[in-house]
Amino acid sequence: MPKHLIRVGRRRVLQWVGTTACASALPTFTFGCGASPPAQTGYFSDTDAAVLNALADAIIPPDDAPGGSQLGVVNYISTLLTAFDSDPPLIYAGGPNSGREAIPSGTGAPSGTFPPDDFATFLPLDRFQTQAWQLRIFGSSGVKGGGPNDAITGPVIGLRDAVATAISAGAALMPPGVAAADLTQAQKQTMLGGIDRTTLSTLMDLVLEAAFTAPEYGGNPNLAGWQMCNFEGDSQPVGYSWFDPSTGTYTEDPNHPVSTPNPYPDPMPVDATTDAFIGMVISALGGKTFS
Amino acid sequence: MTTSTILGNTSLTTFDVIVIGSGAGGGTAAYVLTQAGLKVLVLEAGMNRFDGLDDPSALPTPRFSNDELKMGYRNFITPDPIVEPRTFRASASDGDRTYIGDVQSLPKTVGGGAAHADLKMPRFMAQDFTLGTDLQNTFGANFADWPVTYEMLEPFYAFGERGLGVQGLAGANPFESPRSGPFPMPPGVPMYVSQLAAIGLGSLGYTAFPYPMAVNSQVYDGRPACVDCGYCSGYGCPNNAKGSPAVTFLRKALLSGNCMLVTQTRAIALTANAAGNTITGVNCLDPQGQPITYTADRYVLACSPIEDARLLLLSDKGGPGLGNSSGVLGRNLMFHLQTTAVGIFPQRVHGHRGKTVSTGFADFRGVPNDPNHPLGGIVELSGSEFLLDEANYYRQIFGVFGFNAQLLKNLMRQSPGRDRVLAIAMQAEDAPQLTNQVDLDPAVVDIDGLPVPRITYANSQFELSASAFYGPKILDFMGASGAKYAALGPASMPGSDHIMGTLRMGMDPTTSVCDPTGRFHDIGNLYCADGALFPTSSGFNPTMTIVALSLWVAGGMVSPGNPEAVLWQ
Repeated sequence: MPKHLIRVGRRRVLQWVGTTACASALPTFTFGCGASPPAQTGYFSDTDAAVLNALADAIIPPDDAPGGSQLGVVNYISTLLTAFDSDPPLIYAGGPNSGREAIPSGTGAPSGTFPPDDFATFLPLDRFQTQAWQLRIFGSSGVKGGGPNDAITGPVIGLRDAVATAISAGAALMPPGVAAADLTQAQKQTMLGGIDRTTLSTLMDLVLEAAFTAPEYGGNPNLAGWQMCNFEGDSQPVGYSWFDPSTGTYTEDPNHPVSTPNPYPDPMPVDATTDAFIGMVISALGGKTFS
Repeated sequence: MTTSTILGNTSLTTFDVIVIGSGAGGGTAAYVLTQAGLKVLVLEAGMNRFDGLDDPSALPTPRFSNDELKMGYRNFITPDPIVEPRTFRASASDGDRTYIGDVQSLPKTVGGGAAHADLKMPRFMAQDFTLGTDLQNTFGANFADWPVTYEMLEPFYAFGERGLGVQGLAGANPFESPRSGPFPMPPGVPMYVSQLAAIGLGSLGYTAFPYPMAVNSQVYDGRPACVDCGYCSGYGCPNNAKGSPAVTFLRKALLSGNCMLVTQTRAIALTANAAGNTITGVNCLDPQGQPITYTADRYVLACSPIEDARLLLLSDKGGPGLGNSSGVLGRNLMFHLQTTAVGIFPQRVHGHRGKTVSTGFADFRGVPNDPNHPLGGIVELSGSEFLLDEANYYRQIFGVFGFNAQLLKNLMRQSPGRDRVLAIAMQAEDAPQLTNQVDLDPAVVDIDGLPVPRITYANSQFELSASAFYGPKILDFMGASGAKYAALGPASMPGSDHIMGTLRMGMDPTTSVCDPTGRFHDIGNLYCADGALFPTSSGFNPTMTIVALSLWVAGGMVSPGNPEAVLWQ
């Protein structure tokens, strides 16, 4: 069972309420009031956002768990593509804590107090990082002097251009007269198939990053991507092992132990289809299957 | 949040020693030198991500976090290959290069490469220091004896373990060489997946032991105990439980009053006198990219083997490199050959909780010239990575079998590639070869217009045969541990971020760059204090030996002929 669901679920609900109260224009974000949120900037038109959502669903299909469109892909990409609209740029979330886990008590176990969300305060870049991320987002054509080795490697294609290319290619295969909300999964897959290999790889990078990384970057709303994968997410500052200085001993989180099996049933065992796929891959790698 | 790029005693204007690099080698050297009263300037090309590192009143606040995107994908502390690439080729016959991008780039940040490591800290074995005598030119390699022995380094190992705070259990590794005392701390909490592996190992007659690591298992030296957050290998420590050089030796140097650390300041060339036997200064670019020169009486290189060699080559444009009368500067570049494997268990083994690796075994380290026990290395029994890495593993597989979106989602949720994984890495001896080297790429540059390092590297039959010997045995113990599936990982070249050689130390100035004290044969006031000195790579993680060797070198600078004296000052 996802750690945040059973340990901090109530706190998370309270935080959502608080966030919404202080920034009602940002209902899909999970930031504290004092943070500088990677807000929706309107980078994408509604039409482009709809296409992007369809493409995201083609990569992570919605079923009983969220699909790509529900995992904040549009917002994540928008945040990244407009990262330099903020100072510091929204590239490196801060640290050390996200505020999702408690501060240790004197015994090392969770106290009732939570640290601030340091992730929400983004960190400064040095001159190398600044140049690198401007190149990555705007491309050689959007940065004075271009990349240092354009003459050898060719110009850097910026993420803005790559995403625009993906949207354009996807839109070209969107069935005429069908509203984005009415697209079938098969139609979304067809749209995805219209994207060239290099651009598709970039798009997949972005979709997966949106789904599975810290929500301060703009995706993974309400930790939906982590919960879908039964992944506990960040665990500092309390962690999984609690050291009590007065006794000099560790106690492990009883719900999420380090040294022993999980105390709860497997939330999603490997099914026959997945097992067969893994067996095929292992065989192709020349590996072994043990009875 | 710290914005100053200058830390420590900012009033210092003249220096006895300049140390280039603030990692395991440089931070340790700075500590020894400053404790002896020398005024030291440490130059670091990267940023400081420890707020309050020079504040004596409280522990620093690291800006590291449990953030896979920042640490693993956005180059938070590692050089970004889009502006600082390296190039690669397997041999000179491949042409100028076959690849441009990241080639084993270590972090560029205060604390150096050790900032991102999980700080596994085994010592080398006594036999590892005499492979020149034992193996000579086996498989055409260029083995050499170290000019120091394990016995000579043992007090420095012990001191380094105390300084960083290394946990472990003396005697648990039946192959370890004699120790003068116990580890400073007992082992911490073992990981479940490692316990499963230990059962399998035991059934096959191998001996698992708690992996020595510079991670607190108790409150130590004012720093807290590890909480097993899981984000260890590849991640800076968010709570200072990891004994990173930044929060141990370097911080103590900064608090001594004798040290100034200048960050975001990149050394681009050493200047020398006309004879080339004395360094006169270090030309740098400051945080804004503007030129600035620093001078001192003596200089210590500690910016990792590849960047050490690059700096010496950049300092002698068109020439063979400063300090290269031997012709071996940049050569004998070594990485450990990693034989990797994954075992997939039916049950979830939650390898994301813990210190990435909590257990290892050394039965595969081997014995020189014993065909039944070829020289491999220590084996790390580790947990898994995180979601982005998992998703990208599946993408690689889909690259062969075709993309299937629903299957990708099911894989992520059922997690055979993460939450059920035991991952193995054997860190095996990499035979030194003269043809494995660092030089300057003839055309590819970084954003400052400086030529980037070119790595020319291919494995020899020595390590490839050892990998072939031990690979099947690794698969066997996966099965004995309860895995349902197991497979060896694909060979990659180079395979590890353990980087050694390029400035070999030795007695003979015609075959080595530095002498047994770490001083350049050719240059009287220039030293090296990192893994570049290693004549051979051993089969154990190198950082503990980098620290011991840095203590040795800096000790010799302070107390010539009696480096051990600094351990008791």
